[in-house]
Amino acid sequence: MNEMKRILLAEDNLQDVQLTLSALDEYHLAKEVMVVRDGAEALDYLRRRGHFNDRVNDQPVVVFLDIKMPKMDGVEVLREIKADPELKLIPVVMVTSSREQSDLLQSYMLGANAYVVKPIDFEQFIVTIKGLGLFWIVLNEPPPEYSS
Amino acid sequence: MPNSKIKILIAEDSPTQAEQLRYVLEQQGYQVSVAQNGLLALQMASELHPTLIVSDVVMPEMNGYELCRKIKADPVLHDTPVILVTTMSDPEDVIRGLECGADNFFLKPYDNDSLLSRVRYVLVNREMRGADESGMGVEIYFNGQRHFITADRLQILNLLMSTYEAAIQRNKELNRNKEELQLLNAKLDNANKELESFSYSVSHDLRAPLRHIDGFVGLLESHIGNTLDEKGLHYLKTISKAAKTMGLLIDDLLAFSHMGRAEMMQSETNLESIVQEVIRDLKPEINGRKVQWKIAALPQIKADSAMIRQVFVNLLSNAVKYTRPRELAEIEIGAQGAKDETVFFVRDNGVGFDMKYADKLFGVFQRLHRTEDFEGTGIGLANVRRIIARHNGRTWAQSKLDEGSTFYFSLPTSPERQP
Repeated sequence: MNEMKRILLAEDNLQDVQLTLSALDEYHLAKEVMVVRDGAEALDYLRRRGHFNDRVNDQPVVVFLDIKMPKMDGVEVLREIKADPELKLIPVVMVTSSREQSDLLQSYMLGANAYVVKPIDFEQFIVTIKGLGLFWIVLNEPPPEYSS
Repeated sequence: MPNSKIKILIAEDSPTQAEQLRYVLEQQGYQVSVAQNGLLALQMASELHPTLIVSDVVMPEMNGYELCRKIKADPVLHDTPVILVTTMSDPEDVIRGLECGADNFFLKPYDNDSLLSRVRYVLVNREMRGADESGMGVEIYFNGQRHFITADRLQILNLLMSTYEAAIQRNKELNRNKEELQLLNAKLDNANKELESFSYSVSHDLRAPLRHIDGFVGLLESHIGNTLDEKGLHYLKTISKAAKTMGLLIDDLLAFSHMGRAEMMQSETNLESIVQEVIRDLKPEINGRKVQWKIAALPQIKADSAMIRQVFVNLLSNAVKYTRPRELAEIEIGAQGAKDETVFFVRDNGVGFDMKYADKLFGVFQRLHRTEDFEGTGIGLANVRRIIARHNGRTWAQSKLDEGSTFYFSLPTSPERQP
């Protein structure tokens, strides 16, 4: 029933991609994940530009954004998304290593929908990411234009 | 007159300052004598008939003003110029100088060049000073006080000029200090910013690889865990545990560094309710053990409540932790008021420590117990010390191995200053 629902994961670090996917895979959510490797690519995907110009127009139900990424960091991507009338309704979750006060404050100020710190402890990491996937893919109702 | 004919008498009670002055003047070829106070200087002056007297103001027996007044009243010595060496911290100094008839002021601390030029100036003026003895005396009011000044006009002018010069000099020094301070402040600001970006990077970049270590150990275990023997599994567990420990260390270090930079929010702080809350939060750690709390009346203080709470969290959880081997843990919290500070203490009947290592206790990541015996990263007491230091207080501890420890911290009674 959820085949149309997709997560956009912006994460530059391959290890983190792998760990995140294996956590999501426990609920078989991994196949719903589109991975991009930096902030610029995330925006290209959302705006169907660059090598995403021919993808069909089904926006992800949620964007998971790492903060520290090359080219364009997660906070900048968040700023762009929330300032863009076409994109601003897409829920954005900051998924990051740090709980730095400045990052938290800035993210919420810019309109982040959630902020999650990736735990070092693997068991907790699995629980956290699994829970995130479950919530955004299964439980959460996306904004109307995506509920096709 | 050649310098060797010029006799200078120094009145100065500090031997080091007197010797320094003597050295500088003798280098110029002047004949120099030193008296340790005003009274001795007066006696020496009537024997020596010095060309010039350089006198400190604050001296035992007879101070500089009194000496000057006596010199100026002496029928033989009254023409001898007197330079007063002063810190010029009080505007009344000028009036007192005028009243006693001093010829010149000299500002302490001084540099040798301006000292010598001042001495030469006074000597030249003394020779030029002719018969202007029209000192009828004037009455002036200063700071609501009436003063009578009998010194002659040239003398008054010289004294005021020297005061003005001294004020300018002081002003220049202050300006220079201000510029230096501004420069230092900018540097400090810079260092702070660097520290912030450093800790930002630590919290992001150092945690990621640890997450990967633990993550891939976890994946490996679920992948081949059932084919591993006990030893293999133990190795994986050890790797995973080490990564987690390092994660804790990084978090603690970041919190510690944050504690040093966080802005302080001073408010009226109720220590008794803080202590009660902390004890309540410690319930899971106490875990059914028998703990007897003895809590004395604690005063209300002005402090950063969140930080002081952290102090009690650290001290009380330590007390709970290190009494673990005891059948009945006894933990006492109290305060003793002293004149300008209040001393707080947390006493326990736990395992204690050897006083030999007492100074290590408050260092970052310093531990006196093995992690197998008592868990912890060793940041707690470093945090306590830092917080108390930021409140201008002190921290120390007393203990006897196997008998228990007492941790003390003091807070000043009026903590207006902030570091």
